[in-house]
Formats: sequence, structure tokens, C-alpha cells
Amino acid sequence: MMRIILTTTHLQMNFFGSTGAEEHKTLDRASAGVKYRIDSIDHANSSAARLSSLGFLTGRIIRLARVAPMGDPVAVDLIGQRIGLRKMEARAITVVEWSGHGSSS
Amino acid sequence: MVQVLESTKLARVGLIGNPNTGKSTIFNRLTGLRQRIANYPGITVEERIGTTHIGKKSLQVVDLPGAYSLSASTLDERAVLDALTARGGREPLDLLVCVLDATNLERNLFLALQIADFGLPMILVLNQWDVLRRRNQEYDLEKLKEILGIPVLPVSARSGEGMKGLETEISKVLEKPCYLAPTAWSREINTGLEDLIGLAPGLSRGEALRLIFDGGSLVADRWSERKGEIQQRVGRIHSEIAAGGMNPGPAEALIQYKRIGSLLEGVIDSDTSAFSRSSETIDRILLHRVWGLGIFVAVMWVVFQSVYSWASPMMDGLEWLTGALQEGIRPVLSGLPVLESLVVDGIIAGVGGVIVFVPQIFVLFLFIALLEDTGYMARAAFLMDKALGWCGLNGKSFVPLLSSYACAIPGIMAARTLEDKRSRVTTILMAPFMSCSARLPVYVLFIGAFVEPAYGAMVAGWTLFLLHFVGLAVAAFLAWISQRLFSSKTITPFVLEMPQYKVPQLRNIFIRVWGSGREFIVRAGTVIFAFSILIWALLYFPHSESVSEAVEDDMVRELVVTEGLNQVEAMALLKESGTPAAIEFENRLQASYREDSYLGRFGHFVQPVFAPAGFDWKLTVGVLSSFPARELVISTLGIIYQLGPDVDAESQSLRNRIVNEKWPSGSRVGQSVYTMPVVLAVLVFFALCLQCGATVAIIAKELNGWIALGSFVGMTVLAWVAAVAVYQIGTLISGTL
Repeated sequence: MMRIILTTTHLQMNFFGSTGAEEHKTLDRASAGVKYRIDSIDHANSSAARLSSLGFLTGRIIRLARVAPMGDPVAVDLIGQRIGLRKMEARAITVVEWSGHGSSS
Repeated sequence: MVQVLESTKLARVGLIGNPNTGKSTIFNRLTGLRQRIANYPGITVEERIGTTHIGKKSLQVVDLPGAYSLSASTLDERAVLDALTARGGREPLDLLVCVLDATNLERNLFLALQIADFGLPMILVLNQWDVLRRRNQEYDLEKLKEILGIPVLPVSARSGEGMKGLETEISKVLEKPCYLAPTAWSREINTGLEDLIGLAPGLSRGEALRLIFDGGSLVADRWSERKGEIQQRVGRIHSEIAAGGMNPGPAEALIQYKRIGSLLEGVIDSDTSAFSRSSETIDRILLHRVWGLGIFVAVMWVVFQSVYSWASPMMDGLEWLTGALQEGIRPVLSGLPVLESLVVDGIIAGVGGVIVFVPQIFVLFLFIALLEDTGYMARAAFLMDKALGWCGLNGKSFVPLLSSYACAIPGIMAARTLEDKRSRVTTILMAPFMSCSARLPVYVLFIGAFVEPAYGAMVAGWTLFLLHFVGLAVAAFLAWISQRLFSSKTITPFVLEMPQYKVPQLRNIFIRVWGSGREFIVRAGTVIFAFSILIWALLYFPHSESVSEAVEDDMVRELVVTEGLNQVEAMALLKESGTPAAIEFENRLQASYREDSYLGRFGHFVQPVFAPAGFDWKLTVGVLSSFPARELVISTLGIIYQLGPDVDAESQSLRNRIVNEKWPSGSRVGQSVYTMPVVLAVLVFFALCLQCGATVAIIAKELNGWIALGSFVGMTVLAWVAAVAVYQIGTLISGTL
């Protein structure tokens, strides 16, 4: 899949938190309470358009707020909102752990 | 002429915005109770229209469904798109009031920017300004106004702060329109836009953008004859966008959010990216794996109990009122027997049968409004999603299905909270399988008469308990099968905003509960009314004299033999009111009229169909007459078994009568009609059959008439098959014992 990083702001964000040996994983495998930077989104996923309109974009900082008691879905914080996603949707989002302070918009 | 009409027409103001922005609160503030639910062909989303007066001018205000974007992949989004482009029977809008959640401006602005391409005058409202103030956050509104070129108003709809200013601004902008400048699209997108507009006559700029950006947009259906060409051109535009160095998938979001970023630069100083701290604290408890589930069960228990028990005194009251009205009217019309029966047994009984559901609807919608207004509903869906996902439902199906255990009607109406069409249809079709409270009398009668005497209270209790799961199990299994057969995707998409917690506002809740109750009475009431008159007529006519003469002759003959009276004395005894003989005569007469009625004859006629389930003609008539409402089977059986219509499920005489009922002729002459396999077949039949005219009417209203018919036929056939299977297998087993 083609992945192009677009704007200057997003390019800048990619410099933040780059530690060299980044571990890429999909959001469904991420840990609760940890902040991540979105590395890529699989636009073949049927919910990708919905996710991008809610602000899930490459370079954004998100936080996996919690996992539902039965293990699915997960709640994700970004730009001041909390969004519940099934793991099927979360699988479309590849993230890298982010250690920067605060968060970025 | 046209111009004269134009000038007298009310200006139309559309309220548009994301869900959970308080848009409806603003609508309620503007219109009060002067509102109704709009009804457009083929669209079942809730869209309310109200009127308001600003100065001397009257305006029409339309509360469009909440939407995150215009991708038109959900019914709500499609309705918004139709409203923006004045399609699907809608009048054009003169002004858009775009309501944004001030505490979540970045995401909310996305829709506002999408709308800009539709070229309508616009005002931005930043709602929940009070919350923002409490958090000590400040926005530079003057700057935002200047950049956007349209009015930006801070409002707190809950307290009413800023509403006066909004009204003034609405009338100002209606006089002198102002527009939000559309986003500057890239060269590839702009040329693509023009190509598409040339290709499809009448296509607006905003719609053309939807074609480019949303693969599954329902916009394309409007130009179905050009669909192939449009698709080809959109494909080419995508490759041009890609060649220009941008991924066409998220292209729109990237461009719009980039614009939002630059718009908000210098407007918002503080960091607003973290989720509300107080809501995070509440979520820590309410979504906890132990406490969260415990509280959820407790909340649902309260809701269910309330629908069941709070409503029941009111329902009893309404039933009493219906009865009192019947008794009051009966003597007034006693000179006109047909009219008496039509009014008392047809109209009052029929309308009373609908009104009796209103308390349950009020109570359930009170809770739904409360759960949604506080923000808990989204949490309940989040907690339950996994448990329901396997059969094509999602977490939001839980409340509709649970409340269907009290009554399917409010449950089906509650399914409006589901955005995903397939989950919503599945939920609605599953709802009538849930064992509603009207099935209980039937269970109680048959279990009490047969299972309890034969096997004891323990088994009777278990039977009652298991019957409440028969429908659920069958429905879940069917949903799972249909999901495997008809769906290419195994899991439906589920993206759910979990809004910040809020204190519910009584005014909103009241308006909502009132609206749903009124709507139910008007819409379902008309259909039920017609149905109950029809069933009454089928059970009343032909009502021929010969029936009464035959019954009279029979009874006179019996009295002559048993009591040693002569003909004249016997006849006098039958006419004397209040004597046991006269009551017996009246009951037998009613039973014979029912047997001779068109429905009774039909019962005899179709009895062979129910014979494989072990039903005799009386049970068949009972089943047939209970299609308008299943609990009618009790009073119909009471009439047929000559006990009068006022029997209930606890009635000892009805129990005795059915226990002792024998086959009068045929191969099983002299044997009991109600053997255990027959009883179980009856119970399973009632557990699965859609014997409720009000439910069929409400499915037709929420989805469409064909689905309602399909659901009715499907459940009836299924109930029959299950009853036959239970009877046949049961007979085999009891034969071998």
C-alpha cells in the first residue's frame, strides 16, 4: 500500500518521538493507558473513511484509554474525544509508541 | 405568481452538526413544543420540524439528524445530504445553523467545512460554552469570525445563555446572507469536480465531492444510468490525486484537517487534545471490568423492572378505564346490538388495547433519554458489544432487545438509536421474538393447568423460565445464520463516540418522551384501530337468528330433562336475568355465535392445518383470533368454552374446562385434547409467533410494509413448524414410555 506523508505539520510530527528502533504494531495489540503515534492506516478497511473523518490521520498522537471487559472493543482518545472501536477497526491502524510530553493535534 | 408564493413561504433554517453536540437542545430551545417528526418516503431517521418566531417573523426550523460527515454511508448522513441538496421531497433550506461542540472544536469543524461546498448561508454555534468556561479555556472568537467570514456564536443551550443572540443573528443572516468559503481543493480535484458536474446533469458541487471522496456514497444512486461513466471518471480522478502525491483514501480528511489546523492556530491557545478529566474518572469506574459490568447489570435491572412494574399500575388503570367505559356505554347502546358490539367490543376494546402500551413506552423512553443524555448509553454499548457481535448485532442492540422482554413496541422504537442499518434491521426483527409480557398470561394458563399438576412447581417454574429463552435462542440463531449466508463482511463496522458525561436536562427528556408517546398513539393507533374492527367483524358476523334458536332449543330440552320443567317454564327461566341458567344460556349463545362466525367457520376450515400440532378447532380459533394481540387467546378461549369473556389466566374454571376437554369425534374420540405434547406445542407456538398487530404496524412504520409482512409470515410459519415438531416428537416419546 502506498503511504505518503503529506503536509509539513505531519512531517514534523514524525520527527517527534522517533527513537530509531521503533516498534510498529496495530492498535488492537496496543496497551491500555499508553500513548501512540499513528504510523499508517490501512485504507482497505471498510471503516477507514469513517476513522479519517473523525481525525485518525497519520502522524496524530492517540491514547489507548481502555479495553472493554470482554476484550473488545477498545476506547481511544484523540483530539479531545473518546472513540470506541472494534478490534477489527483497530487492526487497520498501525501505531508506534510515543514518549513525547502532552499530546499533539 | 411564483414570486408571491416565495415571499409568503416561511424561511427554512436547518440545524446541522455532529451527534452529542446539544443540537437538539438548541432545537428545543428555539421551538418548544411546536414541533413534529418529519416523514419522508423511504427515510426513517428521526428528523424534527418546528416553528419559531423571531421578532415578527415566523421561521421553520429543521433538526437534521446528527452526522460526523457527509459520506452518506448511514441513513442519517444520507438524510442530511438530501436536506442540503433539497432532494427526496425536501424543500430547500435558506440558512444552516451549524452546531459545534466547543469542547471538541477540531473534530466538529470537519463537518462544517464539508458543508461549505454546498453554498448555503451559514452561522456557526459553539455550544457548551459554559463547560469551556468552567475549564478556564478561552478561544479568540473575534479572530475565528474574521478568518471564517461568518458569525460565530458562543451558546450554552442547557442554560439558555446566548440563545437571544442566536435568534438575532438568524434573522440578520436571513436578510443578508453570508457564506463560509469552501476549502481550496487541489488542481486535480478541481478539474475532476468540473468533469463530474458536466457528466451528471443537475449534480451540485457538494455532491460531486461526495462522489470523489466516498466510494460507497448513496449519491451515486441518483444518477444510476450514468453510474458506469461516473465510476470510471472517479477512478481516473483518484489516480490523478495519487499522481499528485496524495493518497486518495484519506485525501479529504488530510486536506480538511490541515485547514482546520491553520484556522485554529492562534484561536485556541491551550492544549485541548486530552479527553475530559472528569469523564475519564467516571469511565474508570463505569467501564471497569468488575464494577463496570456490575453497575451495567444493576442499571439494566432498574430499567427493565421499571418498564415492567412502574408501568403496570398505569396499565391496570387504563385497562380498568377501558372496562369501565365499555360497561358505561353498553347500556346506552343496548337497543342497537350491532352498534353496541362494534363500539364496545370492537372500537373501545381495540383502542384500549393500544393505549395500554403507552405507559411502557413513556417509561422506557424516559430511561433511554436519561441514558443518552448522560452519555451512559454509549458506555453500555461499549460494554455489551462483544457479547452481541457474533450474530450481527452491536452493543447498541442491547437496550432495545432487553426492553422487548416487556413489550416489543417500545423496543423496536428504541432501535432508532442504532446507526448501522443492518444491525438496526436485525435488532428490529429479533425484538418480537423476545418473550414479551403479553405472552405471560398464556404461559401461566397452560403451565398452571397442566405442567404444575403433573410435575410440580419446580418443573413449572423451569418451564416458565426456559420459555423466556426459546425466542431469544431461536432469534439469535437465525440472525447468526442470516449473517453467515447473506453478508460478505463477517462483522459490521462499529465506531462509537463516547461523549463526555453530562447532567441530563429535564426539559429535553420531557420533550422526547412526549414526542415518542404521541407518535406511537397516532401512527400505530390508526392501524390497530382498523385491525380490531376487522377482527371484531369476523368474530361477530353473520350472527344469525338460527344460532340463538338452536341454542335455546337445546337448553330448553336439557332443562326439561334435568329439572323436570315444562317448555314454558324452562323458557322463562332462560329469559330471567341473573339466574345460573340464564348466564349459562348467554355464555353458550356467545360461544355458538363465535363458532358460527366467519372466523369460527374459518377455524373449522383451517383446523386441519393445525392438526399436525394437535390443535382442535377451538384452539385453532383461539390462535386465529389472537393475531391482533396474543393475550386475546385467553378471552376467546373463555368465550368458546362458554365461561364468558371475563376470564383471566388464573381462572380456575377455565383451567378445569381445558383440562377436561375431550375430542368429540374422529379417531381420538373421548381422549383428552390437551395432552402434554399439545400443551408444549401451544406454548412453543405462542413463544415464537408474531401475534401482535401493534408490533406488525410498528415494524411497517420503522422499516417498511414488506419487511413487516415477511416478519409476520416468517414467524407464523416458524411457530407452526416448531409446534408441529414439538407435538410429533412429544407424541413419539410419550408413546414409547
